[in-house]
Amino acid sequence: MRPKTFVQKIWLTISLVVLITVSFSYFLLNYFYKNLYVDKVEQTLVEEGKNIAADYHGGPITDDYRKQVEWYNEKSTAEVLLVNNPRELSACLPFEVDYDSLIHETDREKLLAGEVVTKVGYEKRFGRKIMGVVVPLLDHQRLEGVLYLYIPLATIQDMTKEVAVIWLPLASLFVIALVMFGKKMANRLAGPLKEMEQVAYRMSHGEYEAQIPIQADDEIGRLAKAFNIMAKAIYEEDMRKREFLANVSHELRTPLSYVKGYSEAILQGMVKTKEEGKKYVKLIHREAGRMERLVRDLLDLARLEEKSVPLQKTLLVFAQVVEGTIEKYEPFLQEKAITITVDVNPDIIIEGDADRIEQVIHNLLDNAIRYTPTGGEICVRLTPAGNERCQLVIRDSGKGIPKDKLPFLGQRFFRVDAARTRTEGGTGLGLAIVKQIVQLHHGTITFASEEGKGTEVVIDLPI
Amino acid sequence: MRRFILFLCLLLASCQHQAFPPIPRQMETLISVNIKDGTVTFFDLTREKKYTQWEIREPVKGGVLLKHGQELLLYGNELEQVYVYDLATGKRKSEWNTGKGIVSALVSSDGKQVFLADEQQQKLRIFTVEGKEEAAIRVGKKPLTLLQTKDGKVYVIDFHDAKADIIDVRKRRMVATFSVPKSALGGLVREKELWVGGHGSGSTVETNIHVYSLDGKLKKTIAAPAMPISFVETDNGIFTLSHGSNTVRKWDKTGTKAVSLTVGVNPFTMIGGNKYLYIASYDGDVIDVVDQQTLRSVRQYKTGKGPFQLLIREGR
Repeated sequence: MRPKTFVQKIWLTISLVVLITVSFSYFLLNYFYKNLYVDKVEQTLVEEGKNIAADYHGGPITDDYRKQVEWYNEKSTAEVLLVNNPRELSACLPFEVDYDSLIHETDREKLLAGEVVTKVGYEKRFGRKIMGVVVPLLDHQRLEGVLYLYIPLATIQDMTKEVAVIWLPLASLFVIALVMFGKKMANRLAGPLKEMEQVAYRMSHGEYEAQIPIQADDEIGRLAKAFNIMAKAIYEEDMRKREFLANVSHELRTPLSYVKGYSEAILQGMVKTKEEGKKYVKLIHREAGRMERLVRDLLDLARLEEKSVPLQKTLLVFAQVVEGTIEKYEPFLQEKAITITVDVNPDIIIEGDADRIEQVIHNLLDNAIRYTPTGGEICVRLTPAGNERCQLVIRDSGKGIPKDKLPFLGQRFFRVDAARTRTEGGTGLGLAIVKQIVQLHHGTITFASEEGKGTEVVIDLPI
Repeated sequence: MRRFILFLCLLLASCQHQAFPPIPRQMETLISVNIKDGTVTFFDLTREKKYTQWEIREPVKGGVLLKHGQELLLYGNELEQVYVYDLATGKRKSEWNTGKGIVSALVSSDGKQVFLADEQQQKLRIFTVEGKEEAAIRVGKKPLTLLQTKDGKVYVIDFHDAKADIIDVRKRRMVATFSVPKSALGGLVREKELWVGGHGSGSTVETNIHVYSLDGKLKKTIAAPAMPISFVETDNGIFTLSHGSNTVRKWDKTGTKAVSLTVGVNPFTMIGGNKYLYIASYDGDVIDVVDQQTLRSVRQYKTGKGPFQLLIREGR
């Protein structure tokens, strides 16, 4: 059965790792224990053997020496044998066919060379597994005999068994504890993921305000945080979309109701005089114009936001563009008797789309003129700011904008005073378009205002 | 394809036996067959030094000289053939397809026949010196020791079956069998008696020489510990070699009194020259040269590994 859930997978991984580690450590322990112990036994046996062999001074093996070895054998924990039967030493080797001597051919070669031979494993002669060493007794090159020292391997195996008796239950307890802990751990790790899953489902049903509680600042915690931010963004976008639709329909409904109302009045013959009729048609025409502007601005804004129409960037003398635009407003300025002060640095050259930049100035001046009372003043200033930027400041002496509304400037259909401005003919999209264009030119726009004194718009663009 | 041709070339090259250094006919030579490394060492006995060594590199176990010392026959129980080398040229002259199992060889006293003891066929096989098999007579399981009398009888002493067969070569049949100790090895045919040595059976070490009449009756035992396995009789006396105690003993003609010398390192074989005894130490890879009269060691030669058989070729 394959693990299906993430929790199962983590748990399985942890359990496997625990099991592998424990079994590996068991084998390692056994291995080292056996080897170290066997090595130690071997060392001791070799040392003992060499010490006894040191008492042999050449010549045939004497009875005294044999007795000495026998005495040692009684006292020692290891079995110590003195073998000098040539047949046991494979002395007759080339003739041997049916006698299994104690020392075999290869061992004999080593012994003749003065080496100590080690034997681990089953030894037929003793009928059991042993750990033994064979020390040669050499008279020059003659192998007069050997000292065979051994201990049964059972003794060593008993010891490893003892270790196993203590070790195994402890290890099992450890494994169970770790596996249980692993399950908790897996749940804890996967908990936020499960919550995310649920929240995502709720979102798909439109509950955008759902949030995941953040428990830790690890990868999963950060994922939860990102998820929350994403959820919030989606929520806001959704809100904006609704607001936008509401705004658009609201904006369209006002002129439409004018058009509908006046045209009905005309149709029902409520118009008494020709002048009256003309006045109504004029009103219908004005409202149609407003709708046209609204639709145009919407289209414009949509294009800018989508970046579907790329900017036609050229090098522009910014001052010329500013002055050129201002010129077009001369009639309006004169009409409202607004004094305009223009202070532009003619040396500033920017890279931009001439039409779009003009649109920016156009919209801003439009606003400034619209909100500046008759006899007021507008100040336009273009100065370099730092090495690579310039600032265009347009200040009016209008009634200003309340501080709490400043952050909303530039949003679609945002009006500082919705009731008033509609009569003044704005679509509520002008600043939104300005903001888009400035952003597309890698610039920034900031608004500063003091109620009753006027508003200042600062556009900062790269040179 | 290229690899196949190379293989073929190698095969052909290996068939064309290399020539070993030739041994001059006039040189009195001591030959040692060494079984651990499969070599044959030649010593110039006149100049008293090693002459050369043939690297046969095959499991040879022993050899005999044919045609008055012109040819050297080498055998081994694991070899399919016995090899005959011409000493004067150092080339392999012929191979006899005997099959595996040749454990011992003896040249008849008239020099016309070779007796090969075969442990696989369990037969004593009689060949001409040219390699033609003339007869085969059933013997024991491990006929390691071959001895002959002047009147054409061969004693086949078995290592395994604790018996000795007497073969009448002319009649091509076994004429008598008698018991010997188990693991009997080595012996000496004297005028009226047969001395038989041995290793001893199992863990028992043989300490005696068994003396039989020529028809196989045990006459006496002579104590010669431990494991007497090689015998030489010369004008200077009877010499026996006990490999278990590294002892060479010199006996009087009756086999009662002996002087002894400890010599060698597990020596398996001994041969007598005019003046000296040559004793090969299997573990020591040396030949000790011992004066027959004084029984003193006078010299030592280094051999290949595991000298197992010695031969003397007279100079001419």
